[in-house]
Order: sequence, then C-alpha cells, then structure tokens
Amino acid sequence: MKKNIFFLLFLLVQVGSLLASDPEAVVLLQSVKKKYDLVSDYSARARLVTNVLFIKAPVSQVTVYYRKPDQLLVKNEKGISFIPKGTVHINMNNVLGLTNFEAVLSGTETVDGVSCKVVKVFPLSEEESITRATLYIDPVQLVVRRSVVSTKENGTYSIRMKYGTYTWCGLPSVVEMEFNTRDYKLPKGTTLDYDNGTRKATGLPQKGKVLIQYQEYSLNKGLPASLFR
Amino acid sequence: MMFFDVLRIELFKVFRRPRTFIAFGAIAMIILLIQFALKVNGNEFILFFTDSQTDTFEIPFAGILNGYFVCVAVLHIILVHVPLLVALIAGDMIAGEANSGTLRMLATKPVTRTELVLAKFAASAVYVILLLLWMALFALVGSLLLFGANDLVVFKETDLHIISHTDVVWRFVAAFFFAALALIMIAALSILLSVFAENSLGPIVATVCIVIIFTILQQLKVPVFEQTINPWSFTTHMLGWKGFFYVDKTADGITIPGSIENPIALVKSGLILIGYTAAFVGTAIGAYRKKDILS
Amino acid sequence: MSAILEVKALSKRFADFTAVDDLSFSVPAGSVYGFLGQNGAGKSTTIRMLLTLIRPSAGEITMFGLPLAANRHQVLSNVGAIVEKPDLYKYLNGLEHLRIFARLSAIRPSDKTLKELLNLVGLGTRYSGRVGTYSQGMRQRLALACALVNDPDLLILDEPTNGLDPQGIADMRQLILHLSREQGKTIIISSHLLSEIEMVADQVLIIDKGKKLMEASMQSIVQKAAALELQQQPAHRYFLEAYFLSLTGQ
Repeated sequence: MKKNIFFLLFLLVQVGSLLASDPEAVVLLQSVKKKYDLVSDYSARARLVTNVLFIKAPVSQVTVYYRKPDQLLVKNEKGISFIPKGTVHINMNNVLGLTNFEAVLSGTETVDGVSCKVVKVFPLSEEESITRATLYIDPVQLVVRRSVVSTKENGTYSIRMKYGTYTWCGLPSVVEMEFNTRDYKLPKGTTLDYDNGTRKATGLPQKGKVLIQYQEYSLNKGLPASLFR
Repeated sequence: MMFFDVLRIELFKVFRRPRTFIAFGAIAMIILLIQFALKVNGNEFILFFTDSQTDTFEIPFAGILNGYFVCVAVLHIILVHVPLLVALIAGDMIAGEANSGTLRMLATKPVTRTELVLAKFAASAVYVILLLLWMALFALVGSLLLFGANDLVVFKETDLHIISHTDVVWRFVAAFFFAALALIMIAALSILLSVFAENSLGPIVATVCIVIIFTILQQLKVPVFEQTINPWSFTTHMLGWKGFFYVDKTADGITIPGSIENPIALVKSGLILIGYTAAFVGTAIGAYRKKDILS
Repeated sequence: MSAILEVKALSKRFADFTAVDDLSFSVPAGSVYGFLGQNGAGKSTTIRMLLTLIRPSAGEITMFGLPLAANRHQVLSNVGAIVEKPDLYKYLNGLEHLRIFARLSAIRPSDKTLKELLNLVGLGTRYSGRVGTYSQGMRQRLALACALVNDPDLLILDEPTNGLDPQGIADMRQLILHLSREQGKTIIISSHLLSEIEMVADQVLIIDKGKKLMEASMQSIVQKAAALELQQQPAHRYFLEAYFLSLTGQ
C-alpha cells in the first residue's frame, strides 16, 4: 500500500512537470538533442584565448575532448592555460540531457543575425548543479546559438556559439564564454613585486571571457573514459 | 694597462680566499633545498598563489611547476639575501686589507689609489657576475633538468602573467644582467663603506642593515615614504629583474610575445642603479684618495 | 754624496695633535740612515708620509731629485718598504706574494729570480707554504723580499727586526749591510734596537715629539758619546743608546 502511494506521488510529479512545460519548447529541445546525439565523442584541436582582467595569457593551442553525455575536457598539451571550470557548459548536453525539468518558450530573439527561439529550462532536481538555463535555439538549423547557464556554485555562464562545417551535428566552430571571476589579490609583501608604475585597473566588472576557435574535429573515434579522470 | 694588472691581482686574491667559496657553496645549497622543497611540496606553494581562484579555474599545477617557474621562485627567494654574500667580499676589499695590514703594503706600490679602488670594485663586480652565473647554472639549468620546461606563470600581488616557454629564455638572460647591475651597486656601496672602516665586519653589517632598512621602508608602503624615499630607494629598483617577467597584453588580454609591461620603468631603474653605483664608486675613490692610511 | 731624499719643513697635524713638526733632513745616496725616536715621536708618521700613505699637512719631500707629490708613480717604482709589522696575505704562499708585488711595480720577473730573492732573505725553500703557517720571523723575511722585488734604489724599513730571533736579527743586519755595500742601495731604517742601528747606520736622525733633535753621522755620534763618557755607564753599553737617552732626557 505504502509502495503504491509513493508510485502515485512520483507519477503526479512527472505529469505535473510535463504539464508545466511548454510542449513546443520540449519538442524543440528534443529536436536539438537528437542532432547532438549524432556525436558520441569528439576530440578537436582549438585555439584558446583567455581574457580575464587579472590574467595575461598567450593564445594557446588546446585539445577539447568530449564524451557523451557530459564529459568534457580542455587540455593545453604544450603550455599552460587557466581554463575556467565552467567550460563544461559549452557542452549543450549539460542542459539538453536533463530529464527532470520545466521548459518554457519565451519568445524570439536575434543572435548574430539569426532569429532564435528563447527556451528557458528549469531543472527540478535538487542535485543538478544548474539552477536554470536559457537557450537561444536556431529553429531552422536546430542548434543552440546562445545559452545562459546559472549554476549553484560558480554563478552564470553566458555562451555564444557560431557554426560552420559541423552544423549538421550541432558542433560549433567558435565558442565565446563569459563568466564571473573573483578578485585576485595576494597578501601585501608576499610577492615583493617590482613597482614599474603600472596600476591595476579597478572598478571594472569582474567578468572573464574565453574564446575557443575550433580548428579540426575528430568525431566518434571512441575516446576512453580514463581520459577524463 | 696597470689597471688590468691590479684587477688580475685583486681577482687572484678574491678567488684564493676560502671565504669567497662560502657564497658559492651557500647558493648551491640553498637552491638545492628550494628545488627539493618544491619537488616535494610544489602544489602547496602554487596553491598559496591560486587559492582564491580554485573555484573558478582548473589550476594546472603540474604545468606551472616547471623549471622556469622554479627558477623565478629561487631568484625571488635568494636574491633578497645575496647582498649579504656580496657585502661579505666587497665590504672586505679595503677594510679587510686595512685590518690585516696589507693595505699599506699595496699603497706603497706605484699604483694610484684610483686604480686600486677601481680594480677592487671591478674585482667585486666580476665576483658578482660569477656568483650570478653560478646561480643561473643551478637555478635555471638545474631546475630545467629537474622540473622540465613549460610556459612560465608569474604571480604578482594583483595579477598573474603567463609567458610562453618560447618567450622566456631571453627574459632570464636580461633578468640576470639586471640582477648583476643591482648587486654590483651593492658591491659599490660596500666598497664605499669599506673605505671608512678599519675592519671588514663594519661595512658588511652596515651594507646589510642599509638594504634591510630600505626594504622595510619599501614594504611598509606608507604613503609618506611611497612619495619621497621609495621612488629613489635603490631597493625599489633592485627588484627590476622581475620587470622582465611582467608582460604587456593586448586589449583582449593576450600577452604580447617579447613585450615588457613597462620597459621605460626598467630603463629608469637601470639608470638609477648605474647612477648609485657611479656615485658610490666616485665617493669611494674621492674618500680613499684623501684618506691617511694609519692602519 | 748627493741626497737621494730631501725633506723640508715636513709637518703633519691630526686635528689638534701635531705628530710631525717642521721636520727637515736629507738622506745621502748609498747610505744606511738610522731613524730614531721614542714611541710616538713621529717616526712612523714620517715614514708613512715618505711612502704617500699619509698626506703631509705642510712641507716638501723630494726623492731622486723629484717632488714626491707630483711624481709618486715614478718615485715609488724605485722604492721598497716595510712599514711596521708586515702583515701579509695569510692564504697566499711566499712566491705568490712576490709575483703580486712585482706586478704592482709593473715588472714580471721569472720564478727563478723570485726564488733567488727568497734565498737571499733566508726563506729558502719555504716559498710554497701558505703564509698563515709562517712564523713572525719568516713573515718579516718575506716582507723584505717583497720590498726588494722591484730592485729599488731606496729601501725604507720600519722596524725590520720585529719578531726576529737573535739569529734572524744577525741575518737581517748582514743583509742590510750586503744590500748597502754590495748593491749600493740607500736604506732608511727605523728600529728600537739602537745597538743594531749603531752596527749598520752611517747617518742618524733622532726625533722627539715630531721635531728633529739631531741629524749627524754615526762617526760624530760615537765621538760625542765617547767624549761624554756616556757608554761607560753600566746600563749603556753602546754609544748610540747612551747618546740617544741623554738627548731624550731618559
């Protein structure tokens, strides 16, 4: 009897969530996901540009590894890059792969000259690190052109994507991610800096940007899970 | 011609004294200790600088802890203390000979006092350069052998600079030259103090005290000192070697290969150090020429 | 005999203390010139002025016919000196000392010549040992070798017998006489061992409180002392000692 009551409650929640979601939004999300599902893994050579107020970094050559459903790794094999932890969110499967969510269609907006449908996604599970996501979906190409992902711990990531050769499987050619940063300040006197008269710019918003320009994808070659450990 | 003869004699004396090699031994030992500590506990060291960013960024600990980074860390730790090792030799140059009584034997020879002070200064400068080459051998070559090469991350108080490994070696060469300039200035200060002393302990301790006092004034960052003493304090400019590891960036935050954040400041610092050196050596020559050798 | 060194109205004042006061004397070429005075009489200050270690407050020094101040390099090239206790580089050996001091005099004698010089001063084969291991007497001998390394015409020796044992003192005396008589060197020698001065000096200068008390030939001093019968007093076995003490009132 107790078991049955729990089952009924579960069913109600599921039905409730579906009822709350906009069916058109759900269909759109599923169509996009279907496209993304064509890729089970990839590795891609890419050019990484970091633009963070307190970091001066050269342009680096990185390799981006992806394995379905949510493993993503950006590796600088020949140099050093401070890669934001939020780069995992450039993988749209983080949002599209959600099972327990509410989706609402919220009008249209133009992204990079393309009219996109705005879908707001609200995960319902407490365990999800994402609190909400807004996807700007190109309904013609069925790709996400912009996403704004809010997380529990690391604030909001705003991601813009441009597409080229790999539009057919939803893989971007350029990803630009904007994220929140914390102020960088070490205790006075620890670094014994040389005072060359340069003063740190202050009063600017603490936002960082990362630009990933993909150069070459290698799809579905079967990447081992150990690579992501 | 006579100057070079006197210089050769001074160098011969410097490198025949056991005391000279204490510095070389101490430097090798300190560097090896730092390298060992970083090999064992390098991640903790890096975490100290990156702790506030661990939530936002993946910190590439293994990459950061490379030979170039270790070399900069070694120089950062060691160069503050090297003035003592320089003073140990330069402070002894005249006062030590006055104390041991050999100065009067030198001064009765047909060598001008100007030549003698210049030769002693030049010998100290050669010692400084050899000490730095020794340091370079252990700190740079040794660290590269132990930790390998990668891009260099330089942690400053309010920002961090990543320099491509292809853009690093010339910076080390320049930094070593600049450090030589700074330490040669310390040698000049020690020699100046040495002129007025009858035993070597005085100028050695005085040199170290002067360096400590000005370093503390610099570190206190009190506005009144920041505007008056610190811009002209030699300890401010002695840190100029670090300036070669501060890169400039484009508006997009990309480091410009081969760039220096503020080259004009470095040139100014270099000129100030040269100015101090010339003033110290000039005053030492002037004082020594007038000095009655009573020791 | 022409003068190799002439000193005119030489004075040295340190603040309110006058160490040397209007001192004039001349040293004949080829002579052994004894320079006497009590402790603090101004001997060392005078010798230091002769060697340009101290700048005179007034007066003129002429060596080899040249004013010293204007011809320091040229004059000192022809002078050798020991000033008070010779302190040498303890971490160098005897031969290295000679090489250094030869270089400082702008000459480069062969090792053979340098070893001969070490033999002359009685150091023999000890040239390869570090000076730190030398006795005071050996250091004194090495200092003399350093003073002789440029084969100078004028030797200025300030207390050259300091630290020497009786045999060493006798050797030094013989060496001074050899250098003077065989090599024709002029030697200015200051010593508190008046007996030694008496045995080697041709001419003597006695100063007290920075002033000249007397400058005379050894022969005339002996005559004066004999006339006064000073040496017959039990404590004064030597003419010079007796005369010196009578002059300085002791």
